[in-house]
Amino acid sequence: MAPADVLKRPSTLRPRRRIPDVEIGVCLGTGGIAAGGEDVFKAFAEGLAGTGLYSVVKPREDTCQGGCAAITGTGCRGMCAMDVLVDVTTRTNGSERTLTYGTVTPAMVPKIIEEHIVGGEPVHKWVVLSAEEPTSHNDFYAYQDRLVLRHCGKIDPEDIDDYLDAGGYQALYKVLSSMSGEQVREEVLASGLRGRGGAGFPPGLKWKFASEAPSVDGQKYFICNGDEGDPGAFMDRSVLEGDPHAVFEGMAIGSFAIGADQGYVYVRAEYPLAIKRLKIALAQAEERGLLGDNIMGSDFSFHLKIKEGAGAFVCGEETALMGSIEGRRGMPNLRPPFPAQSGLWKRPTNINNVESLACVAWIITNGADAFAAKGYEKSKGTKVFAVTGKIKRSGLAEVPMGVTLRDVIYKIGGGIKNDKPFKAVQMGGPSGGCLPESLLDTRVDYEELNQTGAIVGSGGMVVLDGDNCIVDTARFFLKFTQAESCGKCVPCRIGTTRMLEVLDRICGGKGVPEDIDILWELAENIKDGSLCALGGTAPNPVLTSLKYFMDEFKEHIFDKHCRAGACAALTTYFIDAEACTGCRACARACPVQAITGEKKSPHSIDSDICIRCGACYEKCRFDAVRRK
Amino acid sequence: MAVAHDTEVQTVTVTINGQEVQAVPGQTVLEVARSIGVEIPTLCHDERLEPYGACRLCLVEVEGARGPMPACATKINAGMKVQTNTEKVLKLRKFVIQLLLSNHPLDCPVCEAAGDCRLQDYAYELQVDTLPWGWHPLEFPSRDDHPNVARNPNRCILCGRCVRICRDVMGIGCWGFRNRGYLTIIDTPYNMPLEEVGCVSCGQCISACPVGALNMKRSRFSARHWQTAKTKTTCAYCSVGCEQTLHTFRGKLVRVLAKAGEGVNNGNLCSRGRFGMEYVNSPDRLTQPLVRSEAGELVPATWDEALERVAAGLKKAKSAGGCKAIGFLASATCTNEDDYLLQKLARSVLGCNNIDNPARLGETATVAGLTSTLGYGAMTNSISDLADADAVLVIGSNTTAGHPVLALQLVKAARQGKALIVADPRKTDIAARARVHLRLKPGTDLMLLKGMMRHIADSGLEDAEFIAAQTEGYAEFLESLQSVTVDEAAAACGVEAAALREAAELYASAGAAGIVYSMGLTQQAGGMANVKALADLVLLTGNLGRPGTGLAALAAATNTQGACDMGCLPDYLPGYKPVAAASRGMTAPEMLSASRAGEIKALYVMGDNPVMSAAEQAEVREAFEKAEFVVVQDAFLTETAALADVVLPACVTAEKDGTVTNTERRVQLVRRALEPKGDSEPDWRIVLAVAKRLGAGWDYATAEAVFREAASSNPLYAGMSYARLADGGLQWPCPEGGVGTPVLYADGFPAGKARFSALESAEARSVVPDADYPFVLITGRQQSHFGSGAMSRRAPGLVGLVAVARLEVNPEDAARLGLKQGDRARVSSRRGSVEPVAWVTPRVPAGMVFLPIHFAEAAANILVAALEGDVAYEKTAAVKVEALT
Repeated sequence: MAPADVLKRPSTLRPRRRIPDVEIGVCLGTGGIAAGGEDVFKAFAEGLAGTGLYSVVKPREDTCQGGCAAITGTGCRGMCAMDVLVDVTTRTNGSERTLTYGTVTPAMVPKIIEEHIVGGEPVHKWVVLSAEEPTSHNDFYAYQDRLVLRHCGKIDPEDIDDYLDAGGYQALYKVLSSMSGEQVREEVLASGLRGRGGAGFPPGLKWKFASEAPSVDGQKYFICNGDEGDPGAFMDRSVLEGDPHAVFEGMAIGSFAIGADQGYVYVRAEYPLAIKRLKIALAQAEERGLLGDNIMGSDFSFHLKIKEGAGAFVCGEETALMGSIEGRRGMPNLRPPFPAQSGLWKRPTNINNVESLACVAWIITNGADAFAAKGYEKSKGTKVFAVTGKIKRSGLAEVPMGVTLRDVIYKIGGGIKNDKPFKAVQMGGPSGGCLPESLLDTRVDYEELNQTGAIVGSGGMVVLDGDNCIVDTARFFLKFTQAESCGKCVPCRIGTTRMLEVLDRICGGKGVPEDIDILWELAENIKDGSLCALGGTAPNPVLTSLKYFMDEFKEHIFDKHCRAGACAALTTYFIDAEACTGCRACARACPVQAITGEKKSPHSIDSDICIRCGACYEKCRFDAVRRK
Repeated sequence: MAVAHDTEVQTVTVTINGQEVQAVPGQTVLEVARSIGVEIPTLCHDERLEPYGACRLCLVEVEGARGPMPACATKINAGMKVQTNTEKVLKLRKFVIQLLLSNHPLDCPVCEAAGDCRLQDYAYELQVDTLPWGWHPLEFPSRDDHPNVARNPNRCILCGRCVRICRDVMGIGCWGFRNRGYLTIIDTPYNMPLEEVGCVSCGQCISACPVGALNMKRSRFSARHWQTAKTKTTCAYCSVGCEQTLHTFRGKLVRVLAKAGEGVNNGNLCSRGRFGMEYVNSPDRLTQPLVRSEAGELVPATWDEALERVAAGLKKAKSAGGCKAIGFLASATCTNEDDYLLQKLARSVLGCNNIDNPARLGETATVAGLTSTLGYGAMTNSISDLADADAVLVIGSNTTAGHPVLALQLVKAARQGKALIVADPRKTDIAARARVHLRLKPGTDLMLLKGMMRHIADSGLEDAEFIAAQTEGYAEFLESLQSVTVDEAAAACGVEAAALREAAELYASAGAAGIVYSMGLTQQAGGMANVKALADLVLLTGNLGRPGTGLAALAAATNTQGACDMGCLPDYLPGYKPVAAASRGMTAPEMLSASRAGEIKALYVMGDNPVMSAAEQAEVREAFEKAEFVVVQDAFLTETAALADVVLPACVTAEKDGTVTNTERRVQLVRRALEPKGDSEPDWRIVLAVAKRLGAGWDYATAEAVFREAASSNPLYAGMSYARLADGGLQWPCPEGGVGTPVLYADGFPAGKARFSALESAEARSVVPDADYPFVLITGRQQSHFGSGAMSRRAPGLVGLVAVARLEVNPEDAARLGLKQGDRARVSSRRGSVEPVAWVTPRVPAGMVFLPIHFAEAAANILVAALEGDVAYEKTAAVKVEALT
């Protein structure tokens, strides 16, 4: 603890700035960029400059004369289905008004500038979020409680001053000026925060173990696990891209709490934007003295490095991750010893997930009680879920733990795409499970979800409708873990392969009645026998599918029928001659010329040529293409 | 080893399958279970390696644990209750084996591992008679491009033992995992040929493989595991004395194995030990006596004729010149029994002390240098100690080449972050691992040690308490240190003064610091002064008498130590009882020059090849040619034997019973694994026959009888017998009823106090290159061969690795000389020239070349000079190098 008077307050480390009259925030997260955010950003910059009414400046510079407009490229704000999202804040006569436009293209920008920014009247038909008017998507945020994502989509992640303006590094200041390591550990423990990487182990306890563990030379390490690899999970990426300093601040606080002075952010190489922004943020934080030697003038030093992964899913497992940092092939090691006892280079090491770390500064600032007041029973605080699949508003939803799956899917996600019936939700990625409609009122709570056979996991939620085959989906997730197995232990390496062969067989129409028992047996043994959690949880999607959707397995095996029409070998497409108008739309869509027929007379499908891609089925406007 | 634990070890009680066991915290469930005879199957476990936990076969149930736990990695704790054979774990084990067999080739009928395959054993034990998920054999290509290692990746179970033993024990890392998931295989980096990724052909990977994925290429299809006879013995090459098991079938050696947990080597072997024993099968073996005909040819003869010639020749020499006219050269590779009888023949039958052995090449500097300062002229500690040292200084030892298995202790120490300091002009493999590498100029060892000691004394890092209590002569020693400053010493050695200081500090401030030295330090003028300086260094810092300290004086050959112990020295009787000065015999170089002068009439050589191994080859040859009568006992017609009048065919070690004494003073058994080839006989029996012809009334029925007599006349061996040596051997001194001495001087010094030696002036004694001969040549060893090459160059497994002499040349020099890799070069000194092949490498500094000593057709010893005195031969010469086109 350092006396407060020698420390430099973070707020003094940035220039004062003028509040702009107009602020435009363009989503430049990975989703925003993919949707064309950079072009939209450019269109606003050029468009505003063209008005002559505003000088276009970065918010940091307070030199602007007359009207002042600021354009900020922000991180992801979660409603990725609506990208490119653009926030427009206008300030007139002391009153402030913020609206969000969705699916913005550069072509829409002149109209927004002309009517809204210059004219003062929003282009209502494009507004997707507004506090003043009902919009189709206001619900998306209405049910959320954004704590982890508190800055995402609001600040420029490439500008540390934005973070400082938003109160950044105040928690670290509080820690350095008034808390002991033990107090910090106690505070985080008392908050009830549980590890958001999947296992739900309390970071406060990890910190306690790491702080108590002896180190041969006193060296300890603090690692942020940013190797987010679950298919369908992208909350860590959004945090790293949208609010990197929050992660740094959490790490610095944690390092102070365990007595580490070196740290690594391990990010998967598939996240180039996150890596770029982390590097920018690191340089800025070091330049301001918020990381590095003698932080804020205290005697606490913390040196951080950004370490890129090399594309292995298993490196999200902490012992494999440490091996990767050491330059070895990422392969999990036996625990114990746990990283807290003997981790990176055999020194006590703490590893926390990105999302967990993003909570830390909030907990220190607002107190453990405030965090614990959110959530449910043993699952406190909020959790970000990545909701994808057959859902209307896919994106990131941060909710207090304990809300139901139904609320997340229907209230925030807006329900199933095209209002089709809900079939299942794959909860928790490849380590999780597939839950049926009867379990939609399950709460997102570690204990309650575990009872179903699924897990909170990293928070991936893939929503399935009737067009998704359960067997095929289970196969997809198993194929992922099978391919990503490191190859070290026998049950995972060979066992998942043997399981996959059975699923391939079932989906391929060659399933035999014994396959169900074989799957059960393989799955149970792999769970019991594997070395690390990758293998230990790999069978979960199959096990839950067997548990809740046995009928579909049986249909595949006994009736050689896939009700979703997703398993090509079990599906036949044919044309109902009475319904067919002979429009030729299906024939044009067919990639293999399997459909023949004269114009305006009924067509037919040659099932020997047909590859069961379903293109005709999607194309037909008369429901004449049928599937069985 | 057999060190009694002074402190009471706290044990805790654990229960295994209902049986209460006392165990030491830190032990694993597997270790404790095996200690009470409870077998738990393992595939990825190897006692030489850290627990890995990959095969999942050793899963056991621990009360209170969340799931099954791997016994190999689970540490016991008080009150732990373990069940090793529950239905659940048996089911899991069977599951694992079923999975492994589901993609295994099941080619057991033609698999080398059959009969010695863990997978096969466990499949049988767990009754895996069906493959419920079908059979999906892998289809990776096999690779066969290494002389000794054949691999079949389809049999691989990915236990990673090969990867780990190469990386963690050898410190190399030829193997790694490639691909991921189901397609993971073990491979070299970038799938390069094994020989190009740093492989030293130790075969450790093969020894670690629990199945038939890695095979000894040369022994494939030679015998099934159950067909071979297995004989546990001691390796016949270097002085580490590794325990090995020879597998023989139909009168031939087919393979060599070693068992983890046994011997000084703990199951590890080097390329020589594993692939170099095939010389025993060589068609070059001598199978009958040879005598020189009147036409001057060596022609076959009966034992009777040959022995008669020997007796007559020796008698004639004696009558012509008295007992001084006969010289005996004993062996560093024969057994103690052989050497004991030879010196007895010389002394008690012919009355002559002219007996010497190859220790004269360097080790006698240790015998003399350490006897006079510490008390015993041998390595002070045990090999296993080195890994316990906090710092190790290696000087004059290319350890990975000369003593590869001992070097593993250094590799381990370095990997554990211990301070490894290497003084060597060349960047040898061990130097490349050093924290501090002092690339001193040849011949400046004494200066280097002086500089280090000066710095230690100046910095107050000496162990004053130890010096005061246990030593004498400190003041004179300290005085002698003053002649040179640290900076002057560093400059003279050509090393950075800061590095020299760092080395001194690392050594002196370590809790336990060891020293490893070998021929590089001793085989030079002033070799004994160097040894005494090392003794000073250990005394100065109190690094004696404790594990991890002391001086590891590495002898060259299997039984160099034993040859000295047995009294094959002109000035010592067995057990180092000094010979009265007046009766002192001649050293080997004295004998050879006396022979050239016509004073020695007869030379008797047993198991040595001085024409190859001694310097000044031309003069040595002349000495043998000049001698009126030469007898050579050997298994091969060596360069020396070719000059003999009578050649007596001797057995190789694998055909003998006996004992050898390794470098850590450990006396170990060698056992007969094969019948003698042809009419060859064990050396001791030949010596016995010669003695009888000369009228001696000797009677020894067995080698054991010889040993009984040798032990009774040697206080160091007094407590030893074959029965007591059977289980791993004993380290001398071992008085009657003793348990041997792993660490010398733990209870003080034989003379009461140890003696500092005042240091001689330390000017470099190395050859000085000049305009005509601008390079310094260093001679030495390489890992794949041994000594004069008599054994190693007749082992196809070693010849396949290195067939020709390679001259190491620095790239800078090579460019200037127009030498490319593989070009033939001519190296000439003032004494002669040889034509090795160039190996361009920065291992040697510019201005220096290196040539191994093992190759007769490019014999390094043609180039170097002999010396007189305690140490006979040089390792350096001034040479010129030319490219041959």
